Amino acid sequence: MTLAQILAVLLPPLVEQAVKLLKAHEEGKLTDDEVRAEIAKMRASVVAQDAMIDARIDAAG
Amino acid sequence: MRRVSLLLPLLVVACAASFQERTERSLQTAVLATNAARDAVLAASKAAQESAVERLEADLAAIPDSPDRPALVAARKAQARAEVAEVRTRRDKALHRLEDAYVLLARAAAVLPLMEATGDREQVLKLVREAVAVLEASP
Repeated sequence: MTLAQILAVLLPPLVEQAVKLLKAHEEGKLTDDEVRAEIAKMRASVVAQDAMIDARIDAAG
Repeated sequence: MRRVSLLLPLLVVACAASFQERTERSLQTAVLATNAARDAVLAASKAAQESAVERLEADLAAIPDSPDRPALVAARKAQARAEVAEVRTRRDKALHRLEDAYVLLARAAAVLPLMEATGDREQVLKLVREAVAVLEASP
């Protein structure tokens, strides 16, 4: 098998992997933001939950 | 030999991509587990607080009209607020640990793209492991 034949077999998946790497590189920052967005969601849920309960206590009676 | 030396850089790229994919999957799994833990804590604290409010509403409905009623209502509301505050303290303690886990996972996500450039795989795995340890230690 010649080098050209080996490369013809190996190159397409390697190029695909390299493209995935580049995409992962771009998406890495997004993932970072996404993880931090989960903290924001958590804090927002706490505020909403507490406000709803406080309003119900105030309105009771 | 020349063929091997030509193929080696390509194989290194392939292995790095495979490792990065696995690390990303671990990271995504850890984030999903943290989300599930967060949602469970929030649901439990909501249920506990709603239960306190329902008991309050039932008790207030049972207080007859009288000159003492406003004072009794105020006292019962203060009791309900104390119950709710206790639930919130426990909830916030649990959420604080989850926030620590999120911060570690965010740091892992931030350094993941640099992993291929620096080859510092351990840094990402260390952060994911730390986050999992924080999760495991959560109440």
